[in-house]
Amino acid sequence: MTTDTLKLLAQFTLLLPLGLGLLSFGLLVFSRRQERISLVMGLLTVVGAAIQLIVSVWMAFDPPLGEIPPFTLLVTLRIDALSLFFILLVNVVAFAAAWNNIAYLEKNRNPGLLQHPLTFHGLVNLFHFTMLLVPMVDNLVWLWIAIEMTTLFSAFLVAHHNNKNSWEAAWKYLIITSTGIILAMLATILLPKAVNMIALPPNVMDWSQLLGMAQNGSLSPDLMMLVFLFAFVGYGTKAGLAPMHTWLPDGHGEAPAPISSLLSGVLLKSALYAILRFYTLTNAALGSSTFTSGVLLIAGLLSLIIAVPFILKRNRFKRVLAYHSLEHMGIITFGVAIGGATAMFGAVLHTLNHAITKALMFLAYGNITRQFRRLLGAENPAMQQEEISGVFSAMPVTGGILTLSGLALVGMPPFNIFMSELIILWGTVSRLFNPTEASAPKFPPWIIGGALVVFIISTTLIFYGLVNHIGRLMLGANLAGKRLPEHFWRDLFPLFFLLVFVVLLGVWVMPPLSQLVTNAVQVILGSQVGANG
Amino acid sequence: VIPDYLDAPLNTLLILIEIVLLGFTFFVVIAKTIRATILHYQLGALALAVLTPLMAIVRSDASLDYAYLYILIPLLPLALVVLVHPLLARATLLTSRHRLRIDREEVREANRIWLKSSSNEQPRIRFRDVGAFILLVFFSFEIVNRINLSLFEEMQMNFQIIGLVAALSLYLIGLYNMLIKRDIISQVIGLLVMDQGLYLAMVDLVDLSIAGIFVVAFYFYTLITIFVMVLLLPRLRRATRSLELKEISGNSQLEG
Repeated sequence: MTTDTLKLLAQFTLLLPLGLGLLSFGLLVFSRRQERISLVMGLLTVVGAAIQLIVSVWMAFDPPLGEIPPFTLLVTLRIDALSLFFILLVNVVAFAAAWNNIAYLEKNRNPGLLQHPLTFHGLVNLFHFTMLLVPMVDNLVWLWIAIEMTTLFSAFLVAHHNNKNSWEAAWKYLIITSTGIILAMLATILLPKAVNMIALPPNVMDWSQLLGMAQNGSLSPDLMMLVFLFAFVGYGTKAGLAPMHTWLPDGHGEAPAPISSLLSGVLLKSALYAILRFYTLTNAALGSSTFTSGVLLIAGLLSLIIAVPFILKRNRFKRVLAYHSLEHMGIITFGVAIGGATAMFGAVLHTLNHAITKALMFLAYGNITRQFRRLLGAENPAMQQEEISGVFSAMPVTGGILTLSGLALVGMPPFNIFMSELIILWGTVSRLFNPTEASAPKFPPWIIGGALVVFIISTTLIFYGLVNHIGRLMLGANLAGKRLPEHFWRDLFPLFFLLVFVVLLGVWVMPPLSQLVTNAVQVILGSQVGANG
Repeated sequence: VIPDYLDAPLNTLLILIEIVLLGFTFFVVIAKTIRATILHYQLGALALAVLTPLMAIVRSDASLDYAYLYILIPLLPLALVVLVHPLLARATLLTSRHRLRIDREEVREANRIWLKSSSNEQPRIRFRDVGAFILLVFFSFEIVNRINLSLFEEMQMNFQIIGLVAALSLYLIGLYNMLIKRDIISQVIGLLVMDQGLYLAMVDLVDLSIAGIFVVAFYFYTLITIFVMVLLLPRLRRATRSLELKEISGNSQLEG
């Protein structure tokens, strides 16, 4: 792919959701009353997301790697395999969520400006834009700005229900992640101080420049350790890693279903992406990954352990799913921390698998609650506590999909999560037998063994917990007392779309994708910097 | 260009302002009423608005290349000095007579609501807070001491070292303030104090040749903070009808 095509594609990818978002807000100013316009805007969002998806799949087949000079947005963009992988991940989930938005907003009669469908579509598109901006910018200050922008737009989407709980959740979300993001900025401020050069080059904040300096030994290792710690705690708050995860169950539990799927599927990963960039940089400066991986390993195991009791106890289902995100962020962090090409491959693949599966679960469960709420009314005590039962007899297709994706989520073969968890386990065990892989951190065997035991025990407990929750939801007396409607195009299509990936990736990681993941792992390991693909 | 004989007095002046800023932050933590908390925050922001451009001027040896920074840097804290009180007052009222403005009567009404807040029931000076303040400043001092060797070979001027201590202290004290105060207004103030720390660290450390992008980031960040105060806080207040965290999340379903 030539540079011009690349430039065009990158501009297009970024400007499409931005344009749609602005259009939506523009329409809101001129014609607030017309519901038809909201529907058209929803359809436009779906079409936009579909085009984005096609473009990103195309880019994955023919990776356009390299630097894009500053253009309309005044930012230097740089795309490597890791960014390409995250762009793909964002677009897959965004497409399904955009489709689901239309059904979600259909019966929305809420008159408030912040609850208006056009506001919703506008915010969703801007949110999509910022999540695409995160993996595309090279400058680390811009990365910070992009992540901060995701918070801004998503906070109002979390509060969309406009009740006490949702505002409280939005408040907690904003306050806790802002506290974290300040620390991430402190890391960014300290970063140029680590450069041992008399005159700083003007593009010193670019990640690719910094990586070059780190590999030449011009970054001070002591300060980089501090920078990594600050960045890890800062962005880790946004990534929902324990013990900074306290906003996560509220935010994901209170947001509308399509938004929960975006938050859980993509937003957490955007913050993880920022951590990975700092991880590579610090490793290059220190010359070994033992320190950074140690930090990641502690956070990963802590996330796994903390998630267990909350998944085992009786809880509202969306909150259970949110704690599941905590668990899976723990698994991904665990895989990265164990290191070595195999476990890292599993961890990167797991980001995509978890995004798809979790989005599928949120969307399916959202469809179920929407239909039950429509029938029983929101004031029904069972709906207030979200104690739904008998979904199999009320909505067999949606219930079946939810069950399948639930089984996938806890790591049953032959689904996608099983595949990536197996690869991570494989990598971990092979580290035990072959402890001297060059790129891996130097952990003593008892640490790896102990981590492995914690990993296996907690995932087993979580398996039991989620199956229990799903059983209660699916079986038992039908709360609705009759069959509820399930339209294929309106309700089921995005679910089937995601389910295809859940099943397919469980048996076969397609060559373009596996190549992309392998290249992304090379970027994380710091062995592939430039534009040569 | 700043003449040599001014170096020492300027250095002392900057250190003095930094200590004054820390002092105001101390009063933010121990203030008894919400109004006093806001007032001390405003005074601190004023000190920051004087301190940061002076720092930039001294650090760059008054080079005219960075003239735009000397103007942009104090604008942010000044904007917050002006905006913080009316915005928080607006967020406190359940209804407002104007769409965006707030009049004097409404500010008084907000003050009356704040007087009923739970933080008024505590003793004037809590030794826990004083101890925590001293501990956090000392802790920041220790951190800066540790990283000083590798960090500031070029950093001859003491105001930069004290500035970094002050910045870290502001961050930690803001966090402490958020943890101990049980009403949402004080929590916002805690967040704003942390912002101040970050701002100070930025002007203190970042090489002025690359400071432009950081200033952009801060303008953006402040915009978000103001958004929170304008859009989110009033709605949270209206939805929960309370300023107290205990009442907001006490009987909420968001537990466990």
